[in-house]
Amino acid sequence: MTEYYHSIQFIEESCTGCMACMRICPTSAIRIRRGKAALVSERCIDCGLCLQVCTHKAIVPKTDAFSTLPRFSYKVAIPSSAIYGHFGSEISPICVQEGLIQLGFNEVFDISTALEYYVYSIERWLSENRSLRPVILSVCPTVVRLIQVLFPSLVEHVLPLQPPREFIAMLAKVTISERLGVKPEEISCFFIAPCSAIMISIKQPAEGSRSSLDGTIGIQDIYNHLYSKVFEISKEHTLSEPISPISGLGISFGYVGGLLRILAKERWLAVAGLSNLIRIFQEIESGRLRGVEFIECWSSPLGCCGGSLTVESSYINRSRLIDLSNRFPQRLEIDLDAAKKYYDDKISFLHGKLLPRPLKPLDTNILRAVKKMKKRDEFLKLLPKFNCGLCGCPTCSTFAEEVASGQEDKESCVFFSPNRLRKLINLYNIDFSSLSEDEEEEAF
Amino acid sequence: MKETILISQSFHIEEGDFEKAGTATEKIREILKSLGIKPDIVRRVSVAVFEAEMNICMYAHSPGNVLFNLTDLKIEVQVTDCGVGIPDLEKAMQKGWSTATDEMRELGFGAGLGLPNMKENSNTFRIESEPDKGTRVIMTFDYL
Repeated sequence: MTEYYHSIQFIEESCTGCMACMRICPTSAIRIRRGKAALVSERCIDCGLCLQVCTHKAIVPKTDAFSTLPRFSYKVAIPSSAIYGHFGSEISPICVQEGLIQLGFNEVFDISTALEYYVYSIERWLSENRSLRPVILSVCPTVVRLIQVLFPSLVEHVLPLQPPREFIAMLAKVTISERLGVKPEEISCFFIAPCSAIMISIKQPAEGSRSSLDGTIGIQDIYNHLYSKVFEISKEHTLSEPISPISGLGISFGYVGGLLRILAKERWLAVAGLSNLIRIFQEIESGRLRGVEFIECWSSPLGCCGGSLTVESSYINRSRLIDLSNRFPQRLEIDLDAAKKYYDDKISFLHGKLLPRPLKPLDTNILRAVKKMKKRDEFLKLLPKFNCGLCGCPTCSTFAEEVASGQEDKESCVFFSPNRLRKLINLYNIDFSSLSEDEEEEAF
Repeated sequence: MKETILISQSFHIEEGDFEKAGTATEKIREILKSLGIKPDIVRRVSVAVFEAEMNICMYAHSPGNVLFNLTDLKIEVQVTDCGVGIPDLEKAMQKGWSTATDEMRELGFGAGLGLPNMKENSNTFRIESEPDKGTRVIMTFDYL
């Protein structure tokens, strides 16, 4: 069985077993075992909701720490557009690029140029592959994994192109190595990431190839260092030329619907937020969604600007990005011959094939699977179905499934076993004995 | 060898209820996914059953029923209604032929692909219809 890398880490000592993460997980990938949160690896799609909801710092992102940067010799920053809305609407992205250089990056490459190649490739892919609709944007790593795990039959709808962040990292390495006469391996590209999920797309790309990026630094991690630099720069200088070209399209890629807004496409949809995505994928799976050519999909409700590692409020961030995008040329000119060549030589494409990753069935033998399903349904009828979570599963139906498939003991339900309740009282150190009688009356 | 039914479930389909149309499809899809049926087969069954549900919802002028049977050999779906029936089956099986109203077309239906789509996605497809008595479609899908 494949081991899945994940972008989050559980810190057992800090975990109180409060169940907040288990309850919010959209793919039921968290269990509480012996009072601590634990991950069911094959179910996790790295959406980062658990990371955002944990108030005990017991779930942390596995990004590269900003402090490790000096270890790398030649460092390139590739900022997510989501960072540009973090500094007030009067602060230009040009200052942000300059700030990154002052923090120690040797160069900055914006995704705007890569996006032009990307749009060229999307349009060609759509016109050359008309039979499969809708085509699904594959930039958000969580969206790709959601499809692989919960909607495996839709894998072929996923746009097989390299995301702009990967493409620009590749371009950066080629350009710099030619210019400086160094090997591409000596150059390290870091994505300044709005979410933890980017990390999995680097460590374990869904299509099984190798990433051109070398690491990610969360916006959260770099923000405090960058903030003061950016403000100083904006006061002292009036910069007019960006270090790396920026377009309205590039900035708009940081919020849901930005691509559609700039490209003004008909029959394109923008969908964001996991529950909305699940609904629309169900519709595609039964052929219910018709007349839609392309769907821009983001796991976070407002797109990258609301990612799990952003600092600014996602709504403010989005409104600033819209403002900022109007102050730059909407599109950049690119060399069309180069774009054509990248496409024809498959450089614009993912370097591997995306495969489904469906969840384990109840059993691999159909007869046994049917038996277990009946057992599951019968058992579920007996359960209270108000999803108290004390068994360690997020819902009674998950619990029933695990009992039927033999992974859980029905005694884990407090309604079946008073013993379980006693164990939990000990485990969570619950002691009402100090409560005096008066207080007790008040309390109840 | 005798074929045994492993799971049998029946779903009531209301006419004209666009909001609920698709619930049988969703339940069947959930069953097939938990049993580990291959994704492309789940997809084909979903598309075919959804078309059938929509057909009852839009054209039958009577409620209908979807009977889902999983046997040790195949998946069988029987869709029946006691509605107006289809006067010209040959025509109805042609791609692009439709009696949809403008309202249905607004909703993205009525492209005349319903029955052909059901036939295309199933391994065997049988349809019988009698005017004012109703229509019965029996589709099977190999899953092994």
